[in-house]
Amino acid sequence: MLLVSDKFHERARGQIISPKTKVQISFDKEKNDDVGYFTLDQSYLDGVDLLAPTDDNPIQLWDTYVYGDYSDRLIEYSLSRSIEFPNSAQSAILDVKLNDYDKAISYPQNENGLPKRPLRLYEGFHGADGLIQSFVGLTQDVMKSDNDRIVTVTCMDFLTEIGDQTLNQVVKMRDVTTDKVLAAIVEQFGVVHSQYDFDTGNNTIPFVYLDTQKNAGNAIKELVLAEGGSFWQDESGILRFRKRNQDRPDVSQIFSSKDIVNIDSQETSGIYNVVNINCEVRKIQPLQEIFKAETEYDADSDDYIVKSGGTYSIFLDLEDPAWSANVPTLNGPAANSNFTAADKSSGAIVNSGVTAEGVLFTDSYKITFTNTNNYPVRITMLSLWGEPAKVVDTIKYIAKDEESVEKFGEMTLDLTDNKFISNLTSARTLATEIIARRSNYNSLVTMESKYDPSLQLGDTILIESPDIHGDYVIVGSERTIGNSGVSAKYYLEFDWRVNNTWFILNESVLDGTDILG
Amino acid sequence: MNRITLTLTDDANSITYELLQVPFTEKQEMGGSKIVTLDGNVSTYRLWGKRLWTHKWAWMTEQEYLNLKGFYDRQWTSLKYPKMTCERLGVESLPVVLDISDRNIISDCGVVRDVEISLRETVNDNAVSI
Repeated sequence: MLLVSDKFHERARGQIISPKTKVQISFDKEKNDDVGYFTLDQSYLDGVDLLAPTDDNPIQLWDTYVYGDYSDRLIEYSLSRSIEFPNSAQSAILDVKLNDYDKAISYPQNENGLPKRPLRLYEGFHGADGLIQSFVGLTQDVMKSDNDRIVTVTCMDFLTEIGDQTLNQVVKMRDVTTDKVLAAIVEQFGVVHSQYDFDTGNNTIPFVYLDTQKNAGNAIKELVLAEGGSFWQDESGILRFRKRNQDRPDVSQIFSSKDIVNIDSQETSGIYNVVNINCEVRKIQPLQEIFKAETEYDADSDDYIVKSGGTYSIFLDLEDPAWSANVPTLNGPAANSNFTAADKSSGAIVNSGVTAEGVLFTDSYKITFTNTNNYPVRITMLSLWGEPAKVVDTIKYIAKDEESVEKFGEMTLDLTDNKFISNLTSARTLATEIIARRSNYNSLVTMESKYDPSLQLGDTILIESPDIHGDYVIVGSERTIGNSGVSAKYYLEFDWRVNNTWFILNESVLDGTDILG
Repeated sequence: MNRITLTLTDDANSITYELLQVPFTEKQEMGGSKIVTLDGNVSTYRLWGKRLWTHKWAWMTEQEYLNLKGFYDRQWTSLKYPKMTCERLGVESLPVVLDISDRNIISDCGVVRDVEISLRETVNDNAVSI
């Protein structure tokens, strides 16, 4: 839950509620060079310097743009957030309608009415000591007015932006924890260290190789899934990664009959009573031969023939991804990358004038030979040496809740080919937690209630209504404010941690109800 | 006792109307919504509150009508709403959206019957351009 004053909560739960909203857009993305931390005895109150937030958040890149206030043009907005199972990646989407009576914000009159403009939304209540930032992200489309001179713009948070893109650089790391890989991914998209806050991961991954075709969102989801953690961009714009949290959380708020408009449980949100994990673990090996080819003379073939004064390139398919590969040298030492060559016509051994260059890819190596001799040569033998990442272990773990299987039949969640589940302990903990959460009927509850922008996904709330009672975790939210009124809807799952406790050495009873982590 | 008068002003004209003994109605408009919680109580989300005034003249001469309609027409050409003053109600130079009823001509002199206007409070005095 976002930190707000008691008055804020009081206003949110009142009977006459006056919401207040502010929307800011930086159309030209101009930087405010004067923005810095408020310094006692130097900065002016109510000046440009920002009050440092209470939870030590650094100034975000978002804060340093010059924003225009477009609150008086705001007609309506709709903000939705959701968590995806099982990888707990969150996303936020904001749809905003703005009055464009004078065409001041739509393109082309506004030449900056283009996609990817930073937008911030603040929410609160009149008389409640200020507003809280509830969304920061980028507009998606060109701003266009409809016939009624209204601009409707969809915005996504930065995490959703990243998630849609492929990596623009290879991520190659060894023996790193999950947070280091996440950092390497997000930094590719211009996120600086001060804009993210990651727990040190439980998993140490022996070998990571993500090539430039890999979707960033999928890479993040797989990493987070292997940890059983959560990854999201919070309302102030900071990217956060939290490890698996097995502790029963405090209840953020209580919702009773005086706060709930409508509450309904729907079909099960997906039972899983069998979790099947099947992954390969790769580890980088010492320097060794990773590719070998020998050729024979063939008058009709141009393979491995390097023309006089020319070059020849070929992709070598590697059996395993490689951490490194040494560039071969002509007649080099046998215990390292080397190649031999011969005159194409006479077959005489060549001792000079042929060099090689190479580029290592995920599972291939592009080698280019250059021949400065005045005759064509044939590469007769090529031996490439490097450090391959070989499969050293295959993790196979199946967790099953027999009681649930008897009731509902087998409902299997397959987690195969996740390269970041690196040991049996991680696999077991992950599978056990999924079973604990999902092996029984866990209805998805939809609650329409009073609107409270301080609530966040992952918060646990206590529901006290005539039909539904208990601790529930917020897994989705939607709220709309506009001429049609105000509505707030929350999607809730029963908090599985309420009924499960984790095995504690010297305290728990073996074969008891406590779950082995 | 102060008489209740209504003054309409824009860049081209300013007219004060003596409001005769017919209702000069002030309505409260509210934006937002009401919800009924499970306990049966009503909570109100109030996004905004504005006033709407209406008044009807039983008849107007042709010129009086044209003067009044001038305020209405100039909203769309000057791109500004007229301003309303009614001291008795504590309203001074308030931009209002002016709507006017049909023109019911009842004589060869152009006398118009049942002229009704509505004046809806708005803070921003820039009209939507057509």
